[in-house]
Order: sequence, then structure tokens, then C-alpha cells
Amino acid sequence: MEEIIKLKKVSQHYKMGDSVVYALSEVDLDIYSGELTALVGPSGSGKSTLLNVVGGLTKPTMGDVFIYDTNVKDYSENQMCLFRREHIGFIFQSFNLNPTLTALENVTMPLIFARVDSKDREKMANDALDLVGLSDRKDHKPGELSGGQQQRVSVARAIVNKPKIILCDEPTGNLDTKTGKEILELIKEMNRVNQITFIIVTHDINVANQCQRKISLQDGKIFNDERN
Amino acid sequence: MFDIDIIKLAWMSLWRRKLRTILTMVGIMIGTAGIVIMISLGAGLERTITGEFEEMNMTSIEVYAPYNIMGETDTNDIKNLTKDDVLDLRKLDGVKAVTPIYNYWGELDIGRERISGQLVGVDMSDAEDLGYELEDGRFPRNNEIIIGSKLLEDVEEITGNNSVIRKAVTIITMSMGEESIENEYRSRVVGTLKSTGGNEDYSAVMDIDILIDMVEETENRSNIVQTDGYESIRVVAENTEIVDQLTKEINEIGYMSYSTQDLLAGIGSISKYLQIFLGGIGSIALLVAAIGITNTMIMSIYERTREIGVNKVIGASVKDIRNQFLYEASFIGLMGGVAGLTISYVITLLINFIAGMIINAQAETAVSINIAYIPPWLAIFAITFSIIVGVLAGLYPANRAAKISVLEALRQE
Repeated sequence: MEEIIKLKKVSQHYKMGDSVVYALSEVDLDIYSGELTALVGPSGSGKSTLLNVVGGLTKPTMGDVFIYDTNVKDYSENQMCLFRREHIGFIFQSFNLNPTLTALENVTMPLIFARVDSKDREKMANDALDLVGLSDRKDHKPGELSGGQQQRVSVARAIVNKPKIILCDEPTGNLDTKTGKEILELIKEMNRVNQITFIIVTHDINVANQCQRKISLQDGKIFNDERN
Repeated sequence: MFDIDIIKLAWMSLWRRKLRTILTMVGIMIGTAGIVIMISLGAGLERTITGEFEEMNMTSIEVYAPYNIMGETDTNDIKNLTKDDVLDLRKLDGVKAVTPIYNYWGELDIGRERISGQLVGVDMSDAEDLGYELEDGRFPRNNEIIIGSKLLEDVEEITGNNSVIRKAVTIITMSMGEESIENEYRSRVVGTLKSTGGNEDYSAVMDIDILIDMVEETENRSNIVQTDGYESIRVVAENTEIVDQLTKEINEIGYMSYSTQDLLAGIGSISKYLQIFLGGIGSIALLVAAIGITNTMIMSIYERTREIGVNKVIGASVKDIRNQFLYEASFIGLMGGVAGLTISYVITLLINFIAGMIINAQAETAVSINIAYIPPWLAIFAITFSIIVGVLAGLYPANRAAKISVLEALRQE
């Protein structure tokens, strides 16, 4: 399998008043295409920072981030937006759907920004919603949907552009156990069927145990990296 | 350049906040309306001056004998307007035509009907240069008459006949002395006049010398012009530019003269005050409105920080975000501009209606006057300008929105 994401000596420092916080220190990591990876660790261990670095939401203080052999470390914010548009999807703990738009419209948004032809957009968004099992809730607004359904919408929004990488920040964190399981199953299916590489930040050990690979972080360093 | 999808997004987010959008828009609307009406007053006046009034009215100056309240102390001793005065006035530079005017009360017998009307005598040999235009027929010779447009309406109404041309008429002149004497003269209607906006509209117009002969005979006097003088003398200038100068010269000789331009200058000064007033309101309103747009947009950015962050995550470029906000601001400008323009049209109609009533009441003529007029370029200018105001007001908020950090936005609850 080829490496789709490569981190080389990635460090991330924050200044908090007079002291410097080392969110990540010299992390080396290879993620292979099609892997379903869990990032676990206590709060402040740097797992979210790692996810944000990979997604280009924050720039590492030092080190290189290769995605598809492209070093995105030197990308400007705008370049990163354009790169993300094509290659990376996101799923958040709190769904982050636009409350004023319907499920279908929410899923259409990435296609609009990607300038997908308006004729193809609706079909693509519909397909994505069908795939996450929300065919009958397309015209509902997030407020009219359950948490699990909202998360399904955001999964659909993440996959609609057919990215090869999807980054999830506590995707089950706001859901009850049963719904959380359903969402995880959905993620596993997307991973298996569409060969999408997932990196999931999670607190939930059950979620982590179901992933192919589990990386534990502590104090900004990887201290355990195992495959199930 | 025009990204239809981003435009749609901008439109949708304005639509989501209808009330706020409309309130923000109202400022632009008032500002635009103020400025458009201001300019329309100027444009209307200009059009009136250079437009339909040019030949008939705008070049003509009515000259009267001086009204001397100080008695005979004045160095000038023009008492009555006579033939000499006509000759003197004709010598002035820039004069196209001059005619004495003499009015007399009379009646016309047409068929079996008797219609009262004024008899106006002018120098018929110069009729065309004086600005008279025929609606139909030809100019009169000898004691023939032509009929003004309003009198014609009366005649047609009373006789029920709408072909008065070549009809025989009897002119009845009536002396206003102690004993009323009536004289009858056989005549013929040979033409009808286009509206001049003046006395002639209500009169039978004929050659002045023949009218004076009739009057002298009726009143059994002679040398009426020497003793009474003409009613007035009309001087027609070669073009509108020299009317003011000519009026001044005529007044310096010692006459009293008024040009139609003087009347319009009166309207002009009122309209100038209105212009300053409205322009002031408009400019201030636009400035406040622009600040209002900026303020609304900044508020909106605070409110939508998270949405902006998420959009960046799911693929919106920095430019997309900036453009969305710029489009929102320019939409507010555009809608405000369109609303302002619509209101301006309504208000200019009102202004013209009211001004028309006032002027017509004073002049007793049916002058259709447009003191406010919105030319197409003004409409386009107004819309463009309000969009520009919107864009300028949106620049700062848009850049601010584009700079929002995704992480901070997502952290916000």
C-alpha cells in the first residue's frame, strides 16, 4: 500500500502567555491509502492538533506535511482551501451543518465551492444522501433531524466530492452509544467500499478498537501505534 | 468575474435575514431618492428651457411701458408704446422679430352662435418669425382672422362643428365707453394656431393695423396708438442665450420687460433650494446608509463566524468568502438603488403635478411643465452609484470575513 499522508518531524508550538506549549513535537507518521486510523489520547495530547495539521487548518511550526507527495506546509491559506476542496473531507463532533439549509442544500455546498456543474450537483448530493441512508429526509433542515441523522448528513457532505481522505473529529462524541455505533458502521462501510482513508480522533475506546490502526498520543508525541 | 453560485449564496443569506436586509436597504433608498430627485429637478428645468418652449416662449420678451411711480422725474419719458418704440427695439442686436400687441374685447358670430373672445392684433407680416405656428390653414390677410387653440375648443363645443376654417365670421367690437357701441365687421377664419402658452390661445388673432382701425371706428377716436399706446411689444430674440442680455438692455433703455426665462428663473431658484436641500439629505443619508451596511455586515460576520469557518473547511476559498460578502453588500446597494429610483419616479410625478397646478393657476394657461425629469442616464447612474456605495461599504467586512481563522471559527459555539 502506498503512503497517502506523510508527516516528517512535525512540531506545533503555541505561546500561552510567557510559556510555550508543545502541542506536537517532532511527530513522524505515515498513513497508508485506505487505512482507517484512530487517534486516541487524553485531552491536550495533541490528537486534534495533529488532525488539524493534516487538514491544513493550522500550520505546523516545524516539519513537513506531505499529502500525495505534495508538501502542503508552504501552501497559503487560499491554496490550502483549494487543495482541501478536492482531496479532504471533514466530519465534526458537533456536525457543523448550516441550520438554515436543508439536508440536501448542506450536502450541495462543497459542490458549489468546487464549481461542480449545477446539473450534476443535485444528482451527486442525492446520491451521497442515499448512500448514508437519508433518502427520505433530504428536504429537512438540521433542526428537524436527530443527532444521528445530522451526523449522517455531515458524512454525506464529507463524501460528496469523492475525496480520498476524510478527517473526523470525535464523530460519535455527541451521539448516544447506539447511534454512535451506526455512524461508525457507516464510516467503516465508506472506508471498505470506497477505499477512503479515514483518520478519526476519538475518546471512545470502542470506536478506536474497531479501527484498523490505533495511534496513541501523549504530550505531543506518538507513544503507541498498533494495528488490530 | 460573476460567479453565479456565489451570487446565489449571497442572495440566500440576505433572504434569510429579510428584515435586517430591508432596514439596511432603506437608508440607501432614501439617499438615492434624494440625490436622484435633486438631479432630476436640474435636468427637468434644463429640458424645459431647451426643449419644447424654445421657439415660442423661451426667446420672447414682453416689453411694457415703464410704470413710473415717481411721476415724471425719471430721465426717460416713454409713456406709451408707439410705432417709434417698435422701430427702436427692432434695431437692437440679436433681435429676430418685433411686434406690437393690441388687445380688444369682442365677440364672434360663427353661424348662428355668438362666442365671446379676445381680439389680439399682432404684426402678421412677421408671424412666423414671431413664433406663431399654424395647426391648420394659413396666416390671415386683410381682416381675416386665425383662432387660438383654446378658443377653437370653445368654438367647436358651442357650434358642434369642427371645421371652422374658411367659415365666415362676423367680428363684433364693443366700445367700453359710457354708451356701449357695437360695430360689426365681416371676416373669415383662415387658420388655427398651435398653442403658444399665451393669450393668443384664447383669442382671435389678426393684423394689428386692421384691428386698430376697427377700434378707432368703434370708439370714434383717432390716433389711439399715439394716445393710449400699444398693450405691449413682443421682442423675439434670435436664440435663448441672449435673452437675458437683451432683457437687460431693454430695461436699461427704460422699458419694463419680462421674458419667459424670468418666470422659469423663478422656478429655477426654488428648484435650486430644493436641490440643495434634497442633495444634502441624500448625501447624508447615503453616507449613513453606507455606514449602516458596513455595520450590518460586521454584525452578520460575528453571527456567521462558524458558518464562514465551516464553509472554508468544506472548500470555500478565501476569495469565495470575500466575494459572497461583497455581493451581499452590493445587493443591498442595488435593491436600495432600485427602490430609491422607484420612489423618485413617484415623487417627480407629484412635483410635476403640483408645479403644473401652481403655474397653470397663475398663467391661466395649460402649460405642461416638467420641472423634474429623470433622464435614462440618471436612472442608470443612480443604480450604479448605489451598487458602488454598497461595494465600498462591504469591502472592509468582506476582507474581515475572508481573514477569519477556521480553527477559531470552529471553536466558537
